[in-house]
Amino acid sequence: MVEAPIREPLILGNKTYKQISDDVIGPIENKPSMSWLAGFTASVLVLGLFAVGVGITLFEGIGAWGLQRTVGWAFDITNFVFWVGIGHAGTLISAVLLLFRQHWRTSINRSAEAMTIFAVVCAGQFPLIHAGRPWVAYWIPPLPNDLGSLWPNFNSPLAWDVFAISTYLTVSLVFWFCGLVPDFALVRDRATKKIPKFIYGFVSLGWTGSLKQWNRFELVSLILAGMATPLVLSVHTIVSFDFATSVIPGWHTTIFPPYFVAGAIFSGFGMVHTLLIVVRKVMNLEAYITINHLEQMAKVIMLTGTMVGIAYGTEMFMAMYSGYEYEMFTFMNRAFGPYAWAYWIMMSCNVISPQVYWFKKARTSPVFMFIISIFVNIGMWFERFVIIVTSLHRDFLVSSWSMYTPTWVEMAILIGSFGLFFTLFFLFSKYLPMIAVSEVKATYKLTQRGKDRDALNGKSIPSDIVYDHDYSYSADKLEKKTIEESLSESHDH
Amino acid sequence: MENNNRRYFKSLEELNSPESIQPKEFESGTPGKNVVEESDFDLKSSRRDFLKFMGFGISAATLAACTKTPVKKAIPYAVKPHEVDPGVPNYYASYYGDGGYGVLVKTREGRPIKIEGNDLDPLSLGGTTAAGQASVLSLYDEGRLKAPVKNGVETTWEVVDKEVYSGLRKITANGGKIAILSNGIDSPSTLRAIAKFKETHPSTVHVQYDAVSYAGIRDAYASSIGRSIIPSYDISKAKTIVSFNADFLGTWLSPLVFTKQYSSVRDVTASEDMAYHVQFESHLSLTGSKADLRIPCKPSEQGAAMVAVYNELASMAGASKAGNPGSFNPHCTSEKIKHVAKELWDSRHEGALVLSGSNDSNEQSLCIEINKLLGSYGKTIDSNKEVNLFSGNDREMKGLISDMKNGGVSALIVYGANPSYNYPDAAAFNEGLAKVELTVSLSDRLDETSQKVTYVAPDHHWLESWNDHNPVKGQYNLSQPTIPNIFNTRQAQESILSWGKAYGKYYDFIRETWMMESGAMSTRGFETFWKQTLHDGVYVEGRAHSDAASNSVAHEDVNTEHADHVTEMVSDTTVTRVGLLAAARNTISGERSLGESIRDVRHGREEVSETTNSHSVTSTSSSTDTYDNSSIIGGSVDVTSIASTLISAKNNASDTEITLYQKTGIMDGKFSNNPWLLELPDSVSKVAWDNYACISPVFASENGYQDGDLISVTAGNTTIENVPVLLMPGQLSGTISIALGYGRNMDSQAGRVANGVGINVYSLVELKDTKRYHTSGSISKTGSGYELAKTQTHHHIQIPAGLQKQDRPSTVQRKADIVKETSLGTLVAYRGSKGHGGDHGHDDHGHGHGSAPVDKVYAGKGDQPEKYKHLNIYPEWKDTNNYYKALHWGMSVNLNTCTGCNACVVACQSENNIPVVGKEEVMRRRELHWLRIDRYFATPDKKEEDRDILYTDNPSVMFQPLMCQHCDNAPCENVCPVNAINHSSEGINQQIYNRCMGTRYCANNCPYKVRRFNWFAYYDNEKFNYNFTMNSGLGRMVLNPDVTVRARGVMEKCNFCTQRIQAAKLVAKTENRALRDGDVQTACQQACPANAIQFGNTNDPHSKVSKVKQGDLSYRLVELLNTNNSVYYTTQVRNVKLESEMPVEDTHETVEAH
Repeated sequence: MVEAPIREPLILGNKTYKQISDDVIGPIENKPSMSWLAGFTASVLVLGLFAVGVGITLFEGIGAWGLQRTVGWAFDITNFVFWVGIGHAGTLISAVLLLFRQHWRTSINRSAEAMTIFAVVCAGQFPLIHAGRPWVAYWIPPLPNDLGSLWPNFNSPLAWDVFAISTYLTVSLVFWFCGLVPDFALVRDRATKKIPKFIYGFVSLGWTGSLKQWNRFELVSLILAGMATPLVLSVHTIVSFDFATSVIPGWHTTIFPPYFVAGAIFSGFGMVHTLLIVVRKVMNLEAYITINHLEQMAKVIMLTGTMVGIAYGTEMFMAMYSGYEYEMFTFMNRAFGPYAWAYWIMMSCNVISPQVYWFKKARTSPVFMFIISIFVNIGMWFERFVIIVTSLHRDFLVSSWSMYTPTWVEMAILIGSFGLFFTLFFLFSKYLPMIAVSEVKATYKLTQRGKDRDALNGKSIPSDIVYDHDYSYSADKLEKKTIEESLSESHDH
Repeated sequence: MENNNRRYFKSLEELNSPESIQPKEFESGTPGKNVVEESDFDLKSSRRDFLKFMGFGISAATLAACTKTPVKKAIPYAVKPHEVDPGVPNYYASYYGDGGYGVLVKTREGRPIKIEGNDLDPLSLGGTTAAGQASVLSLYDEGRLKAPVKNGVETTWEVVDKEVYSGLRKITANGGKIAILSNGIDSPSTLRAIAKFKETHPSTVHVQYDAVSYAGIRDAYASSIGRSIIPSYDISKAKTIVSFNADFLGTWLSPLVFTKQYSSVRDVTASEDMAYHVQFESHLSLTGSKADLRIPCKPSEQGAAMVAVYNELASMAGASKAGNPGSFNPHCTSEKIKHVAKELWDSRHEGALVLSGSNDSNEQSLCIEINKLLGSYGKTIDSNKEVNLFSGNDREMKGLISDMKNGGVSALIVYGANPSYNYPDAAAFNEGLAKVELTVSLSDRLDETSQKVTYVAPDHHWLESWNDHNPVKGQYNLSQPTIPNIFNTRQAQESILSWGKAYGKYYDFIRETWMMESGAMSTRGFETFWKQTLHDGVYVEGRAHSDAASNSVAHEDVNTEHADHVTEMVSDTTVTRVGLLAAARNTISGERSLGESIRDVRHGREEVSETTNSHSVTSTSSSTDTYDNSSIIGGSVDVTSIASTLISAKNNASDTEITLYQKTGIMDGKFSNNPWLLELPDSVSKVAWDNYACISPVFASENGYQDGDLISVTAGNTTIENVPVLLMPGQLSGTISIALGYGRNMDSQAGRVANGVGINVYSLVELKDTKRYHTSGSISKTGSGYELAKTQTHHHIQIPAGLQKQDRPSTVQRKADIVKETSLGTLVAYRGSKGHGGDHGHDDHGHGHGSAPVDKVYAGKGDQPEKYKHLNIYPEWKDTNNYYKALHWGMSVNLNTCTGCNACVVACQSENNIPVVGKEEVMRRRELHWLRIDRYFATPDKKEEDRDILYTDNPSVMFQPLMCQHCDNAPCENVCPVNAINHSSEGINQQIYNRCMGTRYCANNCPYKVRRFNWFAYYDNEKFNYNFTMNSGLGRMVLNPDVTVRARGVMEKCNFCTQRIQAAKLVAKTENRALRDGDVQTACQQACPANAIQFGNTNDPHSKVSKVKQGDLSYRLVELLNTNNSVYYTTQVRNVKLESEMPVEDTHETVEAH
């Protein structure tokens, strides 16, 4: 492992290990802050909107939405793809960056993973509620049944979706949970009250911090990261098949898989930005989620935004080059038809707005990054809307052309799905360690202890450092150090 | 004993391969075999397992026993009626009086559920109309009266009969006048019943009145030949048809008959013999849409245009001209007039026909003169075979109303008419009505008129009634009840008879009428004749009855009410034949024919009427049964004075002219409380649930009108407010058109669907000597923002402005993939170059010599080219076991003969239990019609600069019925996650409703957007109570029990009437034969009056559909998608004779586009 001496520290503020624990675990142990309470209440109210929208849909039928004979999907699948896309950043950050040994990920991976899971939970609502008869949705998984071997249609991308999303959710959840185990143990050990001690004790699965456990832990992390990495690519590839395998011009496009994956990472990082810029402020985690972190993500956003832009251009070029008049029409209709406003919102938000990140000033200003991240979220929602609605509303037969307008129920469900997301996120921020304490501590040692840190901070280690239980070892440390060395190090405490 | 090692066998086969001789019950294996393997039975259960299972079993049984299963009672027939077999439909021949044609009524378990055409009826020849198809639903309308009513309160028949009769007696005794106001009656027995009534009440007058009047024709013939008739027109004998605003394919006179005739002279799939059709009109009608040359012409100009045509013809015939008509609007050039006249003149020997849709006797007289010049009488017009429909007399009606207003009428009996709604001066009628002492209505519901009368004696629905009809001279139809009366109603004729103290069943009365006419026959002969007529539904003088035994359809001569009258066996065919011939002979050569006696009844009526003296027919002139058509030539009419009247009418016309027309479904509005008809989109405007003012887009842009504006329309003293505007291509600038039949204001129950839908514009009808359906007026904008429920919203011209540049080539291309059109000249040249007729062969080499009539995207029609075969991602069904082995269903739709009449749409709705979703839902594009008629406009002119003006003022129109295309490579099938769409081995995309979970992916992926989703539960749902087929116990009786009512949240679509396929297979199976072509008729095919739809097995090269498929005009939708559709369209061919009217597809530019 080569350390770059001039690299800025990943965690600022000369934290001690105990301070780190206090900072991260503190909110779990203390009474919720007013800002948390306010935010949580607001989220639950918005979640109520979701419940109302879904309730009306289930009670009355899909007719409560603005869909019709020509446009059979609109907000429902737009929201689905939007949320699935957002669910991409977490796994990318935790799995892919883990494999690539990007240490800056440690401060953000826990919340990004949480975001992934919550986003996938949100996404999962939509295929269910958009079905005309959601109560028979269990027909899609290949369950044994009494109808002979009446199985799902394995040719249908919607069946693939079920496998892709459920696999992704499972692996993400397991990955997330495994990473949480040492932190749960930390909470357990610090807990003074009986009930939290029991609950966190239960979920920490008897973690003692033994070397063997650390070894297994690191191995499981690596294996899960290896499993999750292809899923990052596969999930949105398969989601894109929902469109790419159809015959509808504007959907039937071979560029969709890479284009969707790039878009997903783009939107995922956008959402991570949105969340963390707020969270670091509200939860006083600026020392852990630094400008440096945000800047790294801004660079990813710019890269993937550009990729998405190239994909838009390629799509347009291919349509014009193909000589396939229906497709030519569809793309002209996207850009200049009645939904052109949606197309240009998408173009300006997704392609143009991230380009400001070429400027260092832009990608180090949290306020600016927050604004751009909102643009990215909006743009990516509209991307899916444009793909779905503008392709459907004017397809082959001119006689069937029509316009789609959402009803308030659909708007309520869209807004309400944010309520669901933020409710889960607020619960997460209150009851689970928002930052992977153990991993941060490992990184902390690597990057900030010793002479590097001293050189950067211009002073020596304060003498009054009190180490608390520190179980943190990173995988690479294990490679480098002998067991004796590790043991001797832990004797230091 | 040791083990016996011997092997016993019966044959060598068994020894060698014991499996091969095992008898197989199921060829494809026992169902369920793959579910339960034998190894599954090798269970090894432990004692613990046994206890577990037992414990579970006991608790499960206990739990299950906690629910009380509801006991449902079914009462079996104590004595099963011999003709009712559960699950087997019966068909009864009857007659749909309001459309004027014979039908078969399909009944299931004693309830009529569907109307089919009667192919024995020379008028319908198996076809039906939208209104006729929908009339079965009106039977189950809860808005009908359930009992007689006195002063708005339900009462008993005894009370009504007693009070009405004593009232009438008193009036008769005092010498007061009694008036019977009816609609035009073509029923001999009804007229006889009225005559009988008159015997008791001699002061009775009978006035006939039609909401949409044809009195102008009768008047013209009265002045021309002295007989007040409507002649028979025969379009099938015409080579050139010129129609002045007669929408004969849609609404004029008997559109069903004309559509049949028209389709026979317009079909060019096998021949190039195609009639030439010119239409003068201001409003784009169905007929105008089909015309080869459509000349937009203001209503006021139509008479003058006829003068111009007359002048041209007169100069060719060497007769004198009738005055100078001057110039017309820019569309109606003198070149076109000359061209039309020349075409007429050239085809006068083969058959020319000029029709006028006007109710102005001057125009009709001129029309007669033109036809005389062309020698049409005896060829295309038969003045001997008079039409008895629409015998209303506008002058008599006017006279009656003034009589009423003067207090000259003491009693009024209204039967089948509704003047408070549809009389132009309804206020005058109402005023008169208030002065009548005794007012009785025989209406079936509390409509506008019957709300104002004292007594309502509700009539049966026609499906509950007996009646006889004489629609055309020489043809007699019978109506018979197909269900006992549902409510406490009584046949109107019985009411009239009983108030005339001639009690009895109307059934006996009809038989008496008929027996009187064939008095020479023995009773036995009459019985046979009667039963055979009842069975056939029709008796045509001079034509032998059909042979019942050879008739494939199970016509049955059953009446539930009067079964005791049927005493003889129908199967006695010998007697039948002899009796029939005798009856025919008797009737033809007998001293008194049936027709004659009816005429006597009519004359009786005319004698009592006061206003027909000017042209009343003397009894001597009708003593001979036939008239010589040549006698009409001798008629003397002053053409010059007529011409000058018409020309001055043109010159005095105002800037804005209003025409009033009918829509094919709602017609005159009599049956507008029928949700099927209200939801039926107008074929041309594609608007459902409303009427509106059609305004030319050119006129609108000049005067600042927009779609959805509200205008007030003023004509004379009448102003109608809040008429919504529809910009309608094809509407001539300076004219507006509004449909009649809307704006009902019935009792809230009687009109719960129709009330408040649209606007009543009957008051705009001009009352001259006859009613005129066009008038001068003015319009002004009063509001905006009204939304019409359009099922098709975008015309090509509405492609966004940013696309206008690209629009032209791509629009043409798109259209070429979807609707194809060519000219007869191109077709003839093409067929000539191929050296044979149209039956086979297509241009494999593209557009080398004489451009092909149809662009062939793929040469090997029906299959993709060999070199692309391997590129197919779809399953190769043909290689799959048993696929397409015997049957491969296919459908062909002839765009050339299709007139867009909508009969198929309603037939499909009726057959397949398709819900009505209501205006709001249609506005959200959620109509559920499985079969829709797409309408496309195209510019007839290729000159780019004139395009927009001409495009919107006079576009050519194409109709395309669109149902599920049943693709063999179906995009819908492979995207369903739960296999709810199954590809049948016979090529049908089968939607399995109860497997569907409603992802709608199939609908999105359907290139033709034919899939329909159940957005809501449309049954048992208060929000959809206008869908009374599914929301009232009575309405549900119309549902076809063979077809599921779909649940909320499932996808549905056309399935080629799979229930009919199944029924036909069962019939074939019981008869132990293979299916024959024509055994299966889909609902749309059966309803089609133009025979435009064929359905059959495309594997059979001799089937009708295969022949169409092989024809050189056949194509499939968006063929480049390679969906391998099973629906084949036949290119529309126009017999274009003017260069400027050539379809765009013929231009060089588009041919090269491929």
